[in-house]
Amino acid sequence: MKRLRIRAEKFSGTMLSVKVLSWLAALIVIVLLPGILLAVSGFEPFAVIYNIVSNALGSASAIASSLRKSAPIVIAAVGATVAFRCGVWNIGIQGQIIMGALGASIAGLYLDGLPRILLLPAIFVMAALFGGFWGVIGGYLRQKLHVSELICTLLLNYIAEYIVYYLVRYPLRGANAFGPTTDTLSAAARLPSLASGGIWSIVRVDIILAFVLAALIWYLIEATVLGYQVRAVGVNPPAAQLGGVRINRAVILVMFIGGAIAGLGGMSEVAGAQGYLSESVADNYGFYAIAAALIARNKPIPTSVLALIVGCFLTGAMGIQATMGVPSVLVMVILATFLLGILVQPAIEKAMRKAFIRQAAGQKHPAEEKGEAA
Amino acid sequence: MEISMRGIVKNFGKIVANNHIDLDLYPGEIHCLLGENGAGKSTLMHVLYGLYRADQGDIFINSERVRFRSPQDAIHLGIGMIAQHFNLIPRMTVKENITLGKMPRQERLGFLWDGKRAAEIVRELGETTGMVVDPDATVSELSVGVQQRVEVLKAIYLGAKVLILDEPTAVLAPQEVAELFAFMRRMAAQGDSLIIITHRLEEAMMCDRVTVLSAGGVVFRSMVADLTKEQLNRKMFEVCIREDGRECQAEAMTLPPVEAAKDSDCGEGNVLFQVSDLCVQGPTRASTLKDVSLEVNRGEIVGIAGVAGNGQAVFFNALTGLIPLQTGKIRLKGADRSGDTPKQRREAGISFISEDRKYLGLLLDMSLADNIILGYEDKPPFAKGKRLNYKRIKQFARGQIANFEIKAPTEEMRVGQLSGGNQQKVILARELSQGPDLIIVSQPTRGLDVRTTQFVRELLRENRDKGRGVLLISYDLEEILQTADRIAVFFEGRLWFVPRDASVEEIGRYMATGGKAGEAVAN
Repeated sequence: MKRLRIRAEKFSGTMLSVKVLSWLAALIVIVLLPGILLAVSGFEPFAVIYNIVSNALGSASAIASSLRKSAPIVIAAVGATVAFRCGVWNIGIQGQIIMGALGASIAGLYLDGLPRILLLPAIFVMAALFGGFWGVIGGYLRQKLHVSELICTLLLNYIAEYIVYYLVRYPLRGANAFGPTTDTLSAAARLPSLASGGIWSIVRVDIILAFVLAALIWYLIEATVLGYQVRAVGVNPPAAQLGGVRINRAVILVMFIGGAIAGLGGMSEVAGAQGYLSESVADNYGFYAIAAALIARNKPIPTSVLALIVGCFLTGAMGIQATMGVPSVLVMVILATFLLGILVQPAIEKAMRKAFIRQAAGQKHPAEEKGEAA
Repeated sequence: MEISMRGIVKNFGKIVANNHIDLDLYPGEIHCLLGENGAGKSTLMHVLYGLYRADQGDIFINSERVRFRSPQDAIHLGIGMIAQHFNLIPRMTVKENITLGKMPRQERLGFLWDGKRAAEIVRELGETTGMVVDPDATVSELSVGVQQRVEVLKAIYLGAKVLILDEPTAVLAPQEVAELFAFMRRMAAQGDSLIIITHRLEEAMMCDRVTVLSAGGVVFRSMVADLTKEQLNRKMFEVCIREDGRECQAEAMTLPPVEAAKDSDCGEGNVLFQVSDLCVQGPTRASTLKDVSLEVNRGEIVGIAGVAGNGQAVFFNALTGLIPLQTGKIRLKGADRSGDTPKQRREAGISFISEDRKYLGLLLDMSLADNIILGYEDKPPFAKGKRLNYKRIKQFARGQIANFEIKAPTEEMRVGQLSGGNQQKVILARELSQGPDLIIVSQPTRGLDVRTTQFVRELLRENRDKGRGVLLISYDLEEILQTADRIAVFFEGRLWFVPRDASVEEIGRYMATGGKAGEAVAN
């Protein structure tokens, strides 16, 4: 018995090193592929990677700008996990961010003058409602008219984008704005900074909000009745339905909650870093958010961490475009290989584990293997 | 073709499914694999068919070592398998399904499919095997028994010399079972060999050789000719002691003889559940319900027999509320439930045990604890307000694991990793634990071993004796005879009630032709 336990410990120890090894293999993929591409294009690969890392994390001010950049991406990524857990393909995160940003701007511009203690909640609620409404459209169409949510949420992205495109050119165009944007929100309508002066003043509470939301969604999914029902529908809709879960309600709720959170991502941009609404308010955040959620298997906490890493990377990459002249396309390739590396890591680990077991099985007596299993 | 499997080992995580199994298959024999759920029969066959790769061990064909990377490799070498769930394309015709893997091409335009030739192939196969099927019929229109024939023909067309049949008789009527065995004999006479997985001793006795598996290992093998049914039964009984270290009664391993159905005292006030003039559209004409009426009293098991595909599945889904009724009423305890959702029906006191546990019964990717509260997750003690009380849920799950003797290391195990019998026990534990008034259950023992089957039927009778109503739908006539107090038969979407004193042969006639054979009146 004791002998077996020792064996089992050794066994799990080896499995741990398999995990480490597989991450190393993934890291090689992450560095090697873009490295070759960079070298071919005439850049010094290690210098580029070093620059990205140091621009993102190399100093206090670098870290501050990374956090500032990451907030909307992390929030939106948390929003993306909600519908995915229910088996609903909410590709409309981008549109929901844009609508949330619109809601936040309307509140921020037209309710300006309210005391801040009312104004900020109003902005928050408007952003969530606008984003949630945009999500519910997709959920409603899916459940009532049996339209593929994948297609209609995708198309709703364009509708949202062009609604804002129009609004910032005509009705909402700011009197003091240079381009097609709204006026910058007043200081009272902006989210509070973490520090009143210095480097950290550019970081606002939205980065904290992002991780609070991740924790809340984790709790919602894992520990509440609704979360259970959402997971059940995500795993097997007919069985959930026979079990009495109201599928329409679950789908529309997740689309609202996910959309509302994505909308808060839009708020974090308008009332946070950027300060005004423009047609490019959401950049490509919706797609980074979806990628982060899918790669982290829709688990809110890992998703938020991965989205933070993506945000840091984007911050770090901004610098190398300017200083080293690396084209932005190449920067995107580096990001894509990074995500690809994380995506294939479980597959590498599985293959390594299998190879290891096969090798070990050749040496060990099967009765002992059985003993371990018991 | 001679096949030897040597020292086959297959692990799933910590579960040892096959532990050094040797198996030989000679040309011209029918080999029976017998054993309880989770004994490793299906796993072993999946290894032979190339669906799983063994962790250790070798397969030899005619003394030559072979390696299968996928079923394609196995098919290529002449091994075919008929799984429990068929791999047919429902919307395509029989000839398309059979020739899909190796399509006959037109002589001049080689890139075109030759439909006429395909139909001829199906007819020729029918002549050589005795399994006649209409080549132009659409698969979804066929009964389960005929679909199985299509699967068999498909395997033979692809050149199978060795045919693996995984519980082929579970869904067949008695006559169809006889036909299947007649076909198997013909195959064997030609020098082909067959492996059949079954739980039924009578079927094992119709084979040439039998291998009994238990807990992943071979515990017994013999020529059937050297055995009596009693001996084989005793062999399985010995297994029973060895396995859990406890003695179990020899009687428990055989199904008790068919008892005469008890007369339940069903007075007027005892009607629990009433279905009247139900019409529901089904996927085929035969399965569309036509004016189905039925009553279930308190303390009564109403058994619905019939060959699969005659409306049972549509009836079940209509009773759950998953599909809408065209006309007709459903009443529970006098209250109209016709328009209710599944949830409302469940809350009114009906519990459902579906025949398709993977599709309708379980959340395979979730834990045992999660599965055992599905449908009751928003009620105390599992929910505290809007939150789940996982402490109580796990406690409850552990209790049910003990109660139902579910073989699972912990309540956090994914249900998809359990064997079929244990999955069924999870469903039973869930559906029976919340004190329903009426239990609607379809095929509760499909694919279960003798002991679990007996346990399930006993459980249904226990619930009846507590004054609950049970509506039991089963394709297994023996199950109906053994369990039900009153029997009805589905034939082409109509429900025929069978007289109380009807013989097995008479009921068989109802199953084959509906009420036309007897003088019985509909409803």
